Amino acid sequence: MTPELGHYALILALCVAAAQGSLPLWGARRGDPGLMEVGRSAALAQFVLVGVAFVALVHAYVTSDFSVANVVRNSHTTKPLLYKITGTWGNHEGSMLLWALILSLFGAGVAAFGGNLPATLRARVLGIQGLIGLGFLAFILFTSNPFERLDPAPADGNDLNPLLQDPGLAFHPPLLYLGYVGFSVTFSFAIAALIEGRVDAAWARWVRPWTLASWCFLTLGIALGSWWAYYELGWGGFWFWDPVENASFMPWLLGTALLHSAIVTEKRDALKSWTLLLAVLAFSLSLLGTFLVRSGVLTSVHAFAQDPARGLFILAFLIIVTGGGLTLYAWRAPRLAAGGLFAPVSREGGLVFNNLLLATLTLTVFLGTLYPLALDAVGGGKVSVGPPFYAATFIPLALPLLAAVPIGPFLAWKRGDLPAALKQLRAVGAVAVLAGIITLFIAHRSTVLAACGVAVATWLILGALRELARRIQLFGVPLADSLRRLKGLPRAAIGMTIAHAALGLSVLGITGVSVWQTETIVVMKPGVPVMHAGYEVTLEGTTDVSGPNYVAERGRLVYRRGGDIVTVLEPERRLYKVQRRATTEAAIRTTVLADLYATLGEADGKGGWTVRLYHNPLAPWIWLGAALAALGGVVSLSDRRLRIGAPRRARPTATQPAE
Amino acid sequence: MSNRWLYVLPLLMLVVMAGFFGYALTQNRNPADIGEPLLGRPAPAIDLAPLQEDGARLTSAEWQGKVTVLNFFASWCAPCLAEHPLFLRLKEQGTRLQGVNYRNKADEAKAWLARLGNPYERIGVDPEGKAGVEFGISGVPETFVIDKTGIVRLHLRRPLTADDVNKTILPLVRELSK
Repeated sequence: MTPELGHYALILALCVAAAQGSLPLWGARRGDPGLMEVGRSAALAQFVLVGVAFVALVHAYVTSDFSVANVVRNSHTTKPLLYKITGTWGNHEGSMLLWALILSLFGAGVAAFGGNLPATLRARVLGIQGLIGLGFLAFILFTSNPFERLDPAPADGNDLNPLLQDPGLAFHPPLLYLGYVGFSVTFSFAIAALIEGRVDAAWARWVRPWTLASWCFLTLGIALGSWWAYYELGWGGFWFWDPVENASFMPWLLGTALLHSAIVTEKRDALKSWTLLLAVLAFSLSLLGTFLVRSGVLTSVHAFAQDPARGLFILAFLIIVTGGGLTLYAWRAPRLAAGGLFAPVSREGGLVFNNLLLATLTLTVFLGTLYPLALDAVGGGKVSVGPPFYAATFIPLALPLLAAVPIGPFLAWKRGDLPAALKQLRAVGAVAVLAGIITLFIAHRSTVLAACGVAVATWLILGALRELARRIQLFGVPLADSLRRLKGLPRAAIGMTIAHAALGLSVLGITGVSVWQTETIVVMKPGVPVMHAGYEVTLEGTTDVSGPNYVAERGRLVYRRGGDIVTVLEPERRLYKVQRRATTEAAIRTTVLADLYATLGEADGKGGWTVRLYHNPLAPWIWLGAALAALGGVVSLSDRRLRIGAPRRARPTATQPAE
Repeated sequence: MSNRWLYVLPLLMLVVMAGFFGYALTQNRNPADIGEPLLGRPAPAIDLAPLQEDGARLTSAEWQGKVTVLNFFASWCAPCLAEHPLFLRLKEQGTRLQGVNYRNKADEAKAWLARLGNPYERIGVDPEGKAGVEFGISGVPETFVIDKTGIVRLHLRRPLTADDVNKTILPLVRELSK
């Protein structure tokens, strides 16, 4: 009964979305307040209905209702409760339902907290959101119904892919979707602005919290995915330029560009049509990511059940949404009033530089991801594009961008003074160069690239702090005064400092792992020590353990240094009984400076075990940096200017993380 | 407005992209199949430093005049370990076998060969995987048979089996050596 209820709620949601996607738009055109108000109630109703459907599916999973085909394919009675719940979105149908839920959540957010928006703008934004929802709900109902029944119901299910039975991956998709789908609001705002033919500072300010929140979620989602790949796949790496990773990275890059260009639109009323274009493209790239993952046109580690019919549907949807948005853009954007003028060397100029490079980086990743497909289509043969391509193209573009980050905030709006800015950063620059040179000489196996990485990271961190110091006149005025100034600083400024410094931390982590990783792959016999990264590692034996739905071999690796035990790592090799699939569970012991990382491979039949040992210097900083960057975003979200003019309770963004 | 076309550009890009996607979806292609594009074409020119101090450089010029089996391997690669005995056999049969040590640390590769035996006449080192890119390999191990004129005649994207050696490689090498 419950699945039917869910199915029914989903069909109702589709009808409501149809109303939400038409009446408010029509009402806004006719200036009919009644019709415009339909948008708000429809958006709230849609959220409730999709919520009911989602809860019904979760219920089917938790109670192991094997009359539902989706549950049979992805669950098993012995699966731990956490993974029964998260298994709801660990498959194509359920994840689309999660997507629709988050979409309706954002729609409801605009409806509930958009009280300060002009009625026509709000009606149009909600109308566009309704149309997007209509597309996704139709997709779910017509091609990917999660509530499909199975008769007769089997006694038990096929279990969830064991790689997904992991806390990291349980929360990776929801965060990623919150980011992807959050850009739909930005998209809707851009389309509404194009329809109205008006973009101004107020518009930019309304959009900012949505963009910022989406960006934070996307940052966390990508970081979580990369962290999961690091400890679960057992390859010792954190980023593989896999098409699906790229698919999430491209909206992030453009979203970052959008965050910056929207500042120019807000403060200086310039770059309007560019900001609109970025808003349209950021969401389009999110859709593109969905298409790439689910259509099977590219190979990837992310294997969803792939079906050409679904691929065609998403492609058609992508063409309608993006094509519609870009057509409107081509038609209306040239008529937007030109904004404020600025000199090339200015805060605006710096942000344009930032945007050009971020857009180019996006294009690079885009080309690398789709080139194999394009070449194949024109009969040019089969190729695969891998890390060498990105090392050759991405890094040279990213370095100047990173180098420019600390300088930007020192430039004044309209007309900046570059020599004066550089003069203030003189000491920071000297320390950064020195750090690079020291790296070159001290660290073993160093390269010029590593030196650049360390120098840039130092430059970013200290540059961000230097800028903060300037704002609060640290050491220029008594400390108490500085602290008072710090308190009075706009939260957005503090958020920026945190995010920029966090970027430096991540760069440092990436440099550390890429350059100084030590890898030892050996066949270890119990009791025979192996030297690895200055540690004496001994396999003291393996034991058989059994989990709820798997059996495992657990190795006990003792790390010694100078005879003293430093740590004990216990990597596992699990065999999931239902799916007959083996997974490696890396054991990681992290210190602030490095990760000790070990995975257990197969036994060689002669008493030895293949063991992979990694020493990953600075690895934790990659994710620490990402988390801090997201925190910077959150701090910036709490900025006063995003709240003023809103009704009393309205903090448009504070409600988004809530489910 | 002269720069009006600039505003249309994103739309045009979408049209082109959608065309490719439509093609990709409807052609029933298998993206995992990257084929063997080098078959029947000249092997790429490479010139790699030797792994062993006393070894000779591995250059593509070497391939003229004698059939060569070229194997990409690494000490960290478990399937390479599995196929290794077959190469020792191939060497016994008098086949010229050369190796490219792919993205491997020299010390580890040398220790690996010292332990298992070295079947290769020459070994070039490819620490950054550039030769691998030239040859279009997707991983290790992969094996090529190159004929007397330097044309690639066989490309196996997997570890060798005894059948591969007996039924494919040895007859092919014999045939090409005529």
